Amino acid sequence: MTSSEETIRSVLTRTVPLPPDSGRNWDDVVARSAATARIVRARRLVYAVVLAATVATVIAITPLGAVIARGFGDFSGWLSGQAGHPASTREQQTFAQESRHSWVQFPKTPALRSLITASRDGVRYELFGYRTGGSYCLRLVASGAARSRYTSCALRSDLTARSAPVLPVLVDAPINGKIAGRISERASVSFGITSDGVAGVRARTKSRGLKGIVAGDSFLIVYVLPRVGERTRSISASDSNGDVAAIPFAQAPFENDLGPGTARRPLGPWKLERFVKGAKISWLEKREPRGRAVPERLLRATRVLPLSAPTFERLLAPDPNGTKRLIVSLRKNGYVCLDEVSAGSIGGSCGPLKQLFSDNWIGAFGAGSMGGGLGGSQYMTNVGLVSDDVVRMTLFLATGERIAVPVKDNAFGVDVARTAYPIRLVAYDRDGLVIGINTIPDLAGGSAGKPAKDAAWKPAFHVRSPGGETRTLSLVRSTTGGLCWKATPFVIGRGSGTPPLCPDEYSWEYRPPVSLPSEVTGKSMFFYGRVAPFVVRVAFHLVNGEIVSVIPRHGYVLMAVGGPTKAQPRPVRMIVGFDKNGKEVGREDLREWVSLDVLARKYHLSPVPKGQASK
Amino acid sequence: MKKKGARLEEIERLYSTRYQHFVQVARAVVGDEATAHDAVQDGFSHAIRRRGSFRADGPLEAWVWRAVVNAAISARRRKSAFNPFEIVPDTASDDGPGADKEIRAWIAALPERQRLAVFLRYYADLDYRAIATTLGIETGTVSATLSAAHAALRRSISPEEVSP
Repeated sequence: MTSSEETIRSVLTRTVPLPPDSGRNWDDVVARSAATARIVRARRLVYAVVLAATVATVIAITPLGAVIARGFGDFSGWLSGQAGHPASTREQQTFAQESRHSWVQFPKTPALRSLITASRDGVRYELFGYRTGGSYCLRLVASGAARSRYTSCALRSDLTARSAPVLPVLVDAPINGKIAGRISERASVSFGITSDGVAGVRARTKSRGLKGIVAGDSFLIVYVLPRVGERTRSISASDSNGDVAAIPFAQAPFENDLGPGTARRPLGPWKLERFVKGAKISWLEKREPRGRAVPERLLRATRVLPLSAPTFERLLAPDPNGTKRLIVSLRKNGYVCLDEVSAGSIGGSCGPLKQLFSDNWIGAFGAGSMGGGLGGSQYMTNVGLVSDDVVRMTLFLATGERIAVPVKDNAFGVDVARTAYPIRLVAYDRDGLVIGINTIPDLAGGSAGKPAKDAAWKPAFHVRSPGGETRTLSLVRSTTGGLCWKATPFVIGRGSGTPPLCPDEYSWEYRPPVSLPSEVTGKSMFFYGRVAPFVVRVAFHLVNGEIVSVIPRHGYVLMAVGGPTKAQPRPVRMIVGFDKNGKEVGREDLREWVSLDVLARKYHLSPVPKGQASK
Repeated sequence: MKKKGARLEEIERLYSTRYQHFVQVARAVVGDEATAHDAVQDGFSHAIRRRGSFRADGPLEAWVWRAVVNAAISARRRKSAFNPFEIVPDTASDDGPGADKEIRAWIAALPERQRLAVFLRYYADLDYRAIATTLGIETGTVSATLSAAHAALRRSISPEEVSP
């Protein structure tokens, strides 16, 4: 380089220095491209309508999408922090005080906005909003005849990219209170964020239509004395012109019914570009003090579970600007556990440290990722550990969006809208090569079909447990061409059996082949459900060394053992699946499985909902 | 056969590795960092939408640079008609070398295409071919433009500061 070039370069650099890297935001780029694409599509629609009107001359056509977009406005109220009005000093102080005592503490207590206040059936409902990091959170406080508190958050990227005028954040959450002296569900609530042009929000269950309260760029629907198991099936919004828009949302689960699946395919790369060998987390193996020491009150909470004793524990923040906190711990038995700390609970999973990165197709991930979140929450949490080889991660949503996943100290954590599943987490090395892929299916799985009217239920299995209890698994042809199944006796109050479920067919490419839900009663433990179609034998390894083999019928199995006890909380050690060549094709290690019923009895907790009673 | 279309991953990789340089050039065009960041975001979102039209007859980076430079020029036109390079030097202090003022004035006086060629050469480290693709001109034109720029520089700077 000549000296004149050097001079020019140095002057230019002094005049406009290299900016900081902190402004980088790929999500925003993707959101802008999606938003512009929508505008272009809307314009094309208008042009198409104009053309049609010109040709037909007598037919007036309303370009619904464009009209909806204009009439419903946008989410600027929330994005600018002006939704509702400032909460009272007392409300703000209460919030700050509760935040200080929460396991998840804000660096600075966010400013609380008051959105909706209403009373129904002797219960007062107050809906608040606040912003923290890249999340917009709604907090519902129910008081009076029933008391409940819920906080659920939406991501900023979902607000900026959303085409629908309403974003539900929690659907069908129970409000429990006393009815005739017993604690029962007095109401269920759904709430969320609305664009500034929304005038009304309505929901429909199987038997009822419900009108929501709309104020402060938010909505609240209260379903007083809901029927057991009745869930919101549809939500719609209207603007002041009377235009109506259907709102996409994920149905709240009930028992084993997780609602209809999205029937979408996962996007993003599906093939590894480099296989990582000897993947590890160096600092964890060397026990370097990364992150922070785990506060004593969190340690106490993690030690409630009868797991192997921890030998090393650290509190990690995958995104220093976010509120997500993870505890990674090494156990005496050689396991590593990863727990997510949320406002009111701690939960996670464990696995052998040596096998953390053993599966080729998830070569860069350990402890996998897990779905978390309240029943009707519209978001699921995915957390996990990655090896030292991973320098960045991207999340591919089924909706076409991509999100850069924060990774720090080999830990990641990201919330994803349930309506965006199935998702694919992809890890890249320093050369930009794909070294890890983890596809997470739509947890709803799909229940779009119904039992065919002209078909009769046929029992496929009938078992009697050592405790004398029976279960029958029956099958019937579904209206969508697949099979519906049920486990009987099905008793809602006891959490026994399952109602008829008609799952869609789906690829087993990324699903564990023999991951079976379990039902635990006082005397028995039942495993039942669907296994992968290529599994021709399922072997249940019991703790006493016995192996019970079950041959699947039409892809389903049912098995019974004696129930867990304090002395033996894990009656089954392992479930292994074999293909027609006798080759092992799937394995579920249940050694760290904990019966929540046993825990409930031991620690005098309230009965555990059945849907959570499996690992 | 040349491949058609750019992969989203390639564009994202470019964004993650070269974001600061994109903002630096955009800021030189528009004058302030916030607008520059906005222009980079818009440029990349445009590149994402149009990635199917990328033909690999030139480097992808140059193709993306073109999108970002166009976004920056549009942003500057929306903002005002002044020459931003004259008002940028908030970081160029009086205690800098004596040539700074003259060079900035010289850059500000350059025709837009030459000025962009200078930015892409010295901020982004692009080679002549990539600059040509970015600005939609011939490689020879880039060479001539930069030679003219250097000549102008030599004329505007005193001999004791720049060796002949």
